[in-house]
Amino acid sequence: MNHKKIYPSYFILLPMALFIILFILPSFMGLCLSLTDWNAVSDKIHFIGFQHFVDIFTNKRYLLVIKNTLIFAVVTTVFKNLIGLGMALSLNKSFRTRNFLRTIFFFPVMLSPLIIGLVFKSIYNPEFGVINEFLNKIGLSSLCQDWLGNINTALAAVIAVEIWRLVGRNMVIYVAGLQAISEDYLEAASIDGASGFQKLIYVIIPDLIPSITINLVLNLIDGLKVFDLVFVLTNGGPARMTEVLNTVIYKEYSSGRYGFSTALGLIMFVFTCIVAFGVLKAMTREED
Amino acid sequence: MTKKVKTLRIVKALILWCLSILVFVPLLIIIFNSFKTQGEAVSMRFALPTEWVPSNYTEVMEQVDIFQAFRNSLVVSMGTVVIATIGGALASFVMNRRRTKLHRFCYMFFLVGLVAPLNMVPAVLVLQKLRLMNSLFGLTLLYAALVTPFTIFLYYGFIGTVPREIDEAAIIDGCRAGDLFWKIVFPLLKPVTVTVVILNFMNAWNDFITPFYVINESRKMPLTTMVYSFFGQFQRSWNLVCVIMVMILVPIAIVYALGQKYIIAGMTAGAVKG
Repeated sequence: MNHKKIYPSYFILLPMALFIILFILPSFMGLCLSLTDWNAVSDKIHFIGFQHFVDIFTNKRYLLVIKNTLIFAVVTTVFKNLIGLGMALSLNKSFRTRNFLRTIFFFPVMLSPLIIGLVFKSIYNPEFGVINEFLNKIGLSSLCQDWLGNINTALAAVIAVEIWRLVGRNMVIYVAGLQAISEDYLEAASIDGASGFQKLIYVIIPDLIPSITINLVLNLIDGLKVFDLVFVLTNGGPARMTEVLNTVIYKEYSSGRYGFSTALGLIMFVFTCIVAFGVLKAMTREED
Repeated sequence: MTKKVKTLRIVKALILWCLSILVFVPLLIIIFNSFKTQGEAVSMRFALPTEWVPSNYTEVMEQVDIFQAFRNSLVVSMGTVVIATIGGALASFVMNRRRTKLHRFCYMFFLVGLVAPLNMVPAVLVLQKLRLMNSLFGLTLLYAALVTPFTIFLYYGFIGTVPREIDEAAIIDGCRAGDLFWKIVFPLLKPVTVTVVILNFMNAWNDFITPFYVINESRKMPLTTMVYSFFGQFQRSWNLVCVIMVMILVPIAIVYALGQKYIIAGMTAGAVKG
């Protein structure tokens, strides 16, 4: 049979064209534009070499942004995975309301981060917010504070919302992984006298490596790319304690420093690729 | 022993139920406050309204052109779904069946987009050059480009499970090459198509960052951007902000209720085989 006729290559053209023009091309342009002083004020674009990158990596302001982004990505990833795995393990054995609970826990994943941000902004409100009200009620008023306005709690508060938002996706992926584990292994381990904890460490976790890999990669990418939640909850404040790469990229763009914004975008691109491919490489080697 | 297991199970279920309250509370806050008076909604308390004000819903319509924003969101999301799904399905089919080096390379090339973030500012420049800035069509094309990698990832995996013999049998039975995909193969891809349609729709519907860069006219704003700018103008009218949030939530809740199985299938596609 004539493969060229039944499976014509031009079927690939439309998505390929879209992908190249609106994704690959901007990425390469980013490479070039980040070496220029392109901005909204002057018409001419000058080549300035690695000046933007020198500025970024020698300025405490931007180092703090990079640090915040990394903290955000790593901490959310750890907690989303631990809590997600815990929930998956509890939901794995069937009980009556299991499916209903799974449906509930996954729902936040479907919501727009913008809405989540707005609601939690009101929940964290120091005067009327549900959290402080609850703390008052149970007699812990001393813990009440301006969660998003206090430099010590702001980043943690945003991180908590991100965990709330995506823990359900981790759970669902772990549940899928758990269901692929054969009951026979677990039974054999039980017969050999393994405790629940031993079963988890020696049987379940090793079999979950593909799910763990996917969860690590997805969460780290999401963490590095975070925008909506931070933008709505704190807009980078207080005292830039929650400023992350994507919010700075937007701010620099709106203040007309296009070249600089592009350089930051490129840094995010590189970080994301290193992290994602690094984790994939490390985890798949372990599998062999 | 069995008794211990049983109590353990009940305790576990109880803990999970307590956790689920954490999911309910923010959602109920939105719904309750969308029915409160402005004075009562200022504090956004987690409590039923003392006085129910359904007229909030009509008032929002007087303040802003909410239907315009709703329509914009719908047009952009549907457009994204159509372009990305048709393009992705056809491309995955050919790349999966023609196992040449070039086709393999194309597939890997698309997968780069699964990981790497888009550099927004140059993308804006490209849209400008194409005269697609501040246009819903431009926004749609950008979304379609962004969701194409995941669409292809899902389709490619699924098409691999559809035996080639079906193609061959169809051709031998006289199916024209041009009809093969749409008449024979595409109907077999229904489960993954549902997943792709829902996820792409959701991504476009919920997105907030892209319109910020691309759209600068309030007439063309989708719902998400609209609720944000509305929030900026009416900081004190949480009741009205909540109404718009409900309008964003409801379609998503309906889609979720109907297609939950497919959504979870899509989310876990990479989980087992890695």
